Amino acid sequence: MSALGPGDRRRLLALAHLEGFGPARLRSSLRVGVERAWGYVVTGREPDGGASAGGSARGWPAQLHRMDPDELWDRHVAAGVQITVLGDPGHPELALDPLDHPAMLFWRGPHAPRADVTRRRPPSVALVGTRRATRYGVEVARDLGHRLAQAGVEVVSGLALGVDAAAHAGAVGVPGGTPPLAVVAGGLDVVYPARNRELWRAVEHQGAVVSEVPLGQRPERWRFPARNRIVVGLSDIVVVVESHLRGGSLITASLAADAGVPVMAVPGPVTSDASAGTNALLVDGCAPCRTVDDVLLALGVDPAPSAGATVGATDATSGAPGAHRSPLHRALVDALEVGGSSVGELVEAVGAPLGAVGLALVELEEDRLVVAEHGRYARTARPAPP
Amino acid sequence: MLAIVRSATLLGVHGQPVTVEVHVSSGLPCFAIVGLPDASCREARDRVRAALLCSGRTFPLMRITVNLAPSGVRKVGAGLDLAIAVGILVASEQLPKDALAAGYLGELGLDGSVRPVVGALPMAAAVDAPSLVVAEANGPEAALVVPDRVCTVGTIAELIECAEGRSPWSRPRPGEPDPPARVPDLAEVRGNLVARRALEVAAAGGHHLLFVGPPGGGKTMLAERLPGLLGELSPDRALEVSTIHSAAGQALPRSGLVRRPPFRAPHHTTSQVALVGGGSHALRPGEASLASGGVLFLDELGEFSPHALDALRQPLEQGVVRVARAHSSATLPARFQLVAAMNPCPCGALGTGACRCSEAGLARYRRRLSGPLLDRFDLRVLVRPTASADLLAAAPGEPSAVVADRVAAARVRARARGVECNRELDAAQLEAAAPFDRSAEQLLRRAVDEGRLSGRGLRRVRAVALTLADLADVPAPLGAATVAEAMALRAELRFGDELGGAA
Repeated sequence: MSALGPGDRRRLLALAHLEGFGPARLRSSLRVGVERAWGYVVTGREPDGGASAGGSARGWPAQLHRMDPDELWDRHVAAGVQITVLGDPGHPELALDPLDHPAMLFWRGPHAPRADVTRRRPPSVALVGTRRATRYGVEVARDLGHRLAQAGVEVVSGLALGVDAAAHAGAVGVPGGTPPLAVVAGGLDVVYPARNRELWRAVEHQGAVVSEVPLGQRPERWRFPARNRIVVGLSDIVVVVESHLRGGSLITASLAADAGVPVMAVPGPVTSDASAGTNALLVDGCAPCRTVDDVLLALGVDPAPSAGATVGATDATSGAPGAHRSPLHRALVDALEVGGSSVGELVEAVGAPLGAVGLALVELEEDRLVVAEHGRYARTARPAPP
Repeated sequence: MLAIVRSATLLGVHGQPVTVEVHVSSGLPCFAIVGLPDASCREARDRVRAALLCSGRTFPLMRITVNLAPSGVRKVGAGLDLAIAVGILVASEQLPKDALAAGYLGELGLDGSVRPVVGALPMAAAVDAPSLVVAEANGPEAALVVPDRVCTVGTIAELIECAEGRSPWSRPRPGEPDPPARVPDLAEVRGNLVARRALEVAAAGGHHLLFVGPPGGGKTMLAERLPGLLGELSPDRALEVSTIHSAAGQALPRSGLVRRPPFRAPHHTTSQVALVGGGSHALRPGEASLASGGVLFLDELGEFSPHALDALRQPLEQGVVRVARAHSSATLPARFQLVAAMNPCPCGALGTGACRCSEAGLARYRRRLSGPLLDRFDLRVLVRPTASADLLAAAPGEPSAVVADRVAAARVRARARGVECNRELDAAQLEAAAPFDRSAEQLLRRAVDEGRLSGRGLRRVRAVALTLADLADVPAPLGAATVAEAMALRAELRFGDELGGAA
């Protein structure tokens, strides 16, 4: 396939707007030639000339009739959206089965996804996991995202709630760090979920947000697994931070395994349902990810000297401002459970009166060794910014 | 012939004096009631006629006009029946005129029996007469406000006999002493030290208390033990509470006066009107008013309708509910202590890694609990199920009686400040009563500066710390440990963005 002419690009963009016109149909349009495919589609046939299989093809002629390919194209240009087509030199090479390659990619942001083949691109790691993350998962994802970006790794994720958002939140705004990359399921102007709007903007501002669908398209359900395959394709390693036993992240992990992308999993407490999926991955022989070093070693990158701490916890007893630490303070920090402990649990664990425990907790909070959230106290995981 | 009888009607929890004017004259037989009666009040015509006939008197076949003054107040219910009947008897010269010296409250049966009315206590206080005649069952209630002036009657016939001087008026029977209250004991709660402590502090300071925890954590069990820690109501409060209960048609205890602090636990399907009071005519007091002077316990706080919960904000702030309808408005007292229990999320397992709630379900659940409402809880405690080993092994906790003694002592200290409990202190009183020492002030300043404590939170912490000092009998100023304990008892519940991870 040679590079497309401008007219074909515009027609292909128009085809991508059609209902039910996914990557497979776009690829077959490219295969038969966009102009020929267009001719078939306006008559309600499949792009390769075959009889239409699905009901959605019946609507295509009318939909195409209403569309102006030039206007669609201009709208994308005006919105600052870059479009690459399979076969373009700038189209990212994905570690995927050729049949799974996206035919078109839309992206916005200063960093093109793996586009610049002439330069050595940074290694990239996907951080994926459940939307219903526990505090533990959120902390670990944020910490991994932060340290990976620091170590020069591009963090790839899906901007969903929970682990995805935490990973990106950790990776954006790292001074001198590698900017992150997000792959989303809908059009680049359809921020979903709306709660992540600010984070979305931050990623777009520093790295790039990538999508397989043109502007204005709602993220339909089936787009999410399709999005996950691009996340896998853009990554050298997939790290599952937290996953329930039946979770989308496990599907991503098996996609990665099929594509030959190594999968790592963060071990979690055996009492936590949100870690049941990741623990099962470990049992299946997947490599464990305890610290960022485990990931960096697997990537073949030298761990930076500063990036060696255990994920998810700082050692409170050896913390710098710990001069006034009493046995009670140490006992409290030791008693903190993964996912946080309530005051009641702490009082029962250390056996001290509530007043003393309260005072010690306030002091630990002041030293930023402990953080209170929703009535639960937990160790702080986020390292002090270097 | 004209007869003027004094009686009363009920609006909210207050009696309104009503003058019943009965005019009997020649003309076409007719019986009209004017002066804004509601439907049940207008039906008095049929009850009064039948009752008089059954009592062996004649019902005058003349033109009868009954006017209920003041005509601007809507008269509700059948409580004016007796007054109307007496008015007709006097106006038709079947009863001596001296009968008009007394006030009358009572509903009539068709057989001439006199029945009790709802709200006898506040209405008895409103009747402007040297003596008051009520139904036998209303006697003790009315005697609470006008002890020496209450007479009781069982039937119209009896009333006529007494009014004609043929037999003496009967007086209300004195109330029997209440049987000892049976409240569950705190000793039955194993473990959960901090929750027990919070309960004690809540009892001593009247602070609003929220338990958060998964199902089976003992939240309800704990809350039900709060009444056992509270002392009896002061005489003034007892009368106020009895008035509300009388106005709402609640049965008063056998002794007549509600002396125990009420404990009201409405179900979470309770409507807004049932919770704060209202209704179209009588403006009946709701659960919030019935809990006045005691505890309003809302189990499953997250399942209540958001409207109902937000309607609680005014009483929480001001101690009263002002309900206004097109034709009338009323101020209902609602000085209750709010105790609530809720799950952290619909399935109850949030934060443990086993939560099965959808993101949308969680967001919906949290939208119901507005920040301002959660902010009004001085004490917010996370409760979790006690491990089975502890349930079996742990020694029983302190019994309620021991804790109640400490609570009573702390309340004595609070009363020295001129309030019933520390919750009722306003900002200026609180600042005067609870100064901080240096270490406490530094601790709080850092907490506020770092955003761990809000301005409102600071005031709540101060009030709770004062109660803690009262319980320990430590004089002011408040020390750092006391303040830290108060902060530890007020778990930070910031709902909204924690799972986005984008903090």
